[in-house]
Amino acid sequence: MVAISTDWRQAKLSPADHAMLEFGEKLTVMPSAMAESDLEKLRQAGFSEREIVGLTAAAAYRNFITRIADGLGVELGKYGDGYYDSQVLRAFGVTGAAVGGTLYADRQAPSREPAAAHRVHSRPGPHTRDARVCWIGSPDEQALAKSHATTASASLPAGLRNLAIALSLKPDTLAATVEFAHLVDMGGSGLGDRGEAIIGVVVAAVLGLSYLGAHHAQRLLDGGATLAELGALADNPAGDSLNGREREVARFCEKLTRAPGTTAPADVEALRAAGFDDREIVSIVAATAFANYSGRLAAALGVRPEASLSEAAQNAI
Amino acid sequence: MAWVKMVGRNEASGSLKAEYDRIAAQFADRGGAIPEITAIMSIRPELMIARNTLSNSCTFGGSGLGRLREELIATSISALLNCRF
Repeated sequence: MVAISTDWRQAKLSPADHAMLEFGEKLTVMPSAMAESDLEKLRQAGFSEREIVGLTAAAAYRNFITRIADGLGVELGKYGDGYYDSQVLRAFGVTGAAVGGTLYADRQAPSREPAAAHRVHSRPGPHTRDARVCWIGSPDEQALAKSHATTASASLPAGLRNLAIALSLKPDTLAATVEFAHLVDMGGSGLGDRGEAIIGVVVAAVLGLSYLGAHHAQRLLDGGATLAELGALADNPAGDSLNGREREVARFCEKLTRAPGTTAPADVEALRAAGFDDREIVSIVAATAFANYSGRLAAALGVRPEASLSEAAQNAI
Repeated sequence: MAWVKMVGRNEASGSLKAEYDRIAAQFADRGGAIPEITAIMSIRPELMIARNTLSNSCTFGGSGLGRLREELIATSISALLNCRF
């Protein structure tokens, strides 16, 4: 586990585990470059369609929860000597004093400059040539999932139909994803439609995620934003296209998406100075982390934007 | 201490108290302490509970990959992102 904590390629792994971690690494650092061939490698390594969905969700969730921890300064609890492996702690640069103390002592003087982007734009290729809504399952299985999704449409967000079909092999993950989405991404955050949409567009723009970007771009356009405003935000998420509180949110989201391990207390203080209370700050971090999760799910599973989205929204990112 | 306010177990009521009690039982080996990664969203209890549900569907055996593979994924990605937690 120490090798996994430093450079997993140095660890002795089975071919299947190697393929699994290679997939998780690509999904983490270059999600927009995910291709159907990445799923094919997992299939060849012996993973079933359901396991591929589970693997994708596990890797995407890790991109979510690390941003919750780094965005809000979550500390390790002290549960007694020997609870944590000292070698693993050292591999992550964590001293014994930091356990039960603070993991973030070196982040008191923050930099507002994010690290270099891992932005590689690549649209899912097969969608221009076939009728599938995602890369998971056969067309017959997708048709069945679509039928089920229609039956359950009372609780299903209609605009997310294709993502729901992609997750349908793991109904528990689909249900949990939809439940969380309602609280941070579909009007339940308390930040307003425009606030949620800005967060989604910023995350999508930083990572180059077309499905996530299309949905949130549509929300911005529906709310009255112009194509020029949308383009300016997508081109430079932390730039001058927004003002005041919205600009502060965009800056925070960009940093938490691009370089979560550099987030510092002063970044949260900047949100407070812009007028956000702690409840809203939790929502901002949760919405940003969730966009990092859902956007990666869609990218890895090759989810095609729903036909109900406008062409302008689909081309936003 | 995290960078935002949290609701302590002794202050909790209703659904938050019920969730804290459930988590404390789950982590009996830690003396019933509530992990900060759970309590961090306690200012929005419904969000905290939904996060726990999402977590259980993707990790702690919920992925269908087994715990070892889940931890391989968790550790390798945490290292890539320089996440000490």
